[in-house]
Amino acid sequence: MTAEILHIENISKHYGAVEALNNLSLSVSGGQVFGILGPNGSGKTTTLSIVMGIIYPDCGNYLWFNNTQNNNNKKRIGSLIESPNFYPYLTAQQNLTITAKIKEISSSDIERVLKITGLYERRNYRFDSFSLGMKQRLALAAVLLGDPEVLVLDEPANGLDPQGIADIREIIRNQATLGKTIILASHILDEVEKVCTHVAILKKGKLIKSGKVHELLSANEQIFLSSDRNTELFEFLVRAGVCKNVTTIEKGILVEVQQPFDSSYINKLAFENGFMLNTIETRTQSLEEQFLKLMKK
Amino acid sequence: MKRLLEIEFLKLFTYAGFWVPASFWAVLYVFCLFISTQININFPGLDSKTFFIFPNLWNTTTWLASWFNLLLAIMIMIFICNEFSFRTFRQHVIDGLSRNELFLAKVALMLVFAVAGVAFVIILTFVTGLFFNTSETWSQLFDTLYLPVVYFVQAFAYMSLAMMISLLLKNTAISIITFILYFFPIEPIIRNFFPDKILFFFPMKVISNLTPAPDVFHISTQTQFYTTINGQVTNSEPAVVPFNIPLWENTLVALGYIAIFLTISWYVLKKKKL
Repeated sequence: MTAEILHIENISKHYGAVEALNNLSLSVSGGQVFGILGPNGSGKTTTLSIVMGIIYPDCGNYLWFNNTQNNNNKKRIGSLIESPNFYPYLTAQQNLTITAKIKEISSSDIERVLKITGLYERRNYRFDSFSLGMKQRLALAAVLLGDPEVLVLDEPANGLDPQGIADIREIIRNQATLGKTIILASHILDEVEKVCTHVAILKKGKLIKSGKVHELLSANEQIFLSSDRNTELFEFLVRAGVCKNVTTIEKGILVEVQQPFDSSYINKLAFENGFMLNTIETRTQSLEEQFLKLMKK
Repeated sequence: MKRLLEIEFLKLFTYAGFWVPASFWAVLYVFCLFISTQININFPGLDSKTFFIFPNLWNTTTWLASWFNLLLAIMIMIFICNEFSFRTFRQHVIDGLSRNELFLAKVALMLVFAVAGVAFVIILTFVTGLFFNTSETWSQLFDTLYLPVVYFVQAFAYMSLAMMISLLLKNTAISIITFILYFFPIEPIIRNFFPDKILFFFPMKVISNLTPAPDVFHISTQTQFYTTINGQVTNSEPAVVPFNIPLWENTLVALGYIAIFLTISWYVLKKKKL
């Protein structure tokens, strides 16, 4: 069994009258690429800020590596929360030297991370001369310093151009293949769907869904059907009660099946009841479609 | 602690916000000391060169140095408020420093500044002493050697207050203005409403009294000096200055204020959202 990396238990946080987190519980295991999704104000950054010790929860607790809270845990974590925070008058290299000192790691690793993030040529430029994308890359370089076991990334693609986003995705994937645990908060759902193995969806500080990404996607599979008698087929499917949702769309019918029924069962059922299907195809909802559906509830 | 200081030095050594006030401090101090050696006071019984003869010289140099403590306080306010505006306190905690370490790093930096200030004062005192002292007066070098130590307490006290103000306000301009306004006129106005017995214990009064001006009267007469506190006549320390309250007592109160400022700073840093 994979070791538990982060355990969050019943954390709540209020900012005045605003409830940022409400009894949030989560668990992240080793090797997972764990996406935290939610619209603005859903509590993603608050959750990560609490587990990184920047703010205190009103109640509840969290545990890294099954250890009591201490700062040595943080030296095993590379973290980027919200925006890159560096000294504007220092160069990229000097800023990373400070990070290396804090993490108590050798400065020789700086060259490696600058090369990974494509900033090696600009290492002697001041931070305040960097574009937003370069600042984000430098923050990622700081995250990778010391080759940490866990990466905590809050909107890592913020301010990046398409190439930059692709590069960041590549870096995250590479780190995941190295067995790193990655906790990624984002509202770019396409991003999360592409890189994450697990996901938790937050809404107004509450956890509304969590699990493996592929299970979440397949749990709401839709099947597109068409026959010569679409109207009758539609009425039959509604009566049969094996579908959660049946809708008529152009040239066919879209159904959401209930587990354990699947497309072959629907095909068989239709055939036994005298319907010859011209088309039957499974359509997986994207994470974005699922997310939007959950947000409307 | 060594690691914390190394981190602080990395932030400082390429920063104009450090070099400009630090250079001003040193240049202005040397300039003022030089000018003061050139002044001739025409006063019966007083030779102005006496201010530069041991043991009076320590009083002169520490008093002149105290004029520029504001620059040390301003430097501390700039550094601490920068950490908030660059959000680097927050980043340091994310990267693995504890809030206690953030606090200790700044306290260590203030100690370094105070030690550096004292070292500079000592060097300038010796250099000045070379021009005005005879072998006879050099022998009185150690008579008031406690004054650089008291100057250290004073510089550290101003910086501790500066640290507390900047942690509470988080903004460089507002912190500096608040510090200066409190120094003058807020505290002097408030002091006016209190009797002598109490007003000597206000923070700025206590801290600034640590390095009082050279005692012209005493130096000129070379007689015992008497001060009156609340109607009581007390015999002051010989050869130095008219303290409002004894120097050791004043120093103890200043150390108490330092403890209060640092405790509040630590508490604020521990509890505040970074």
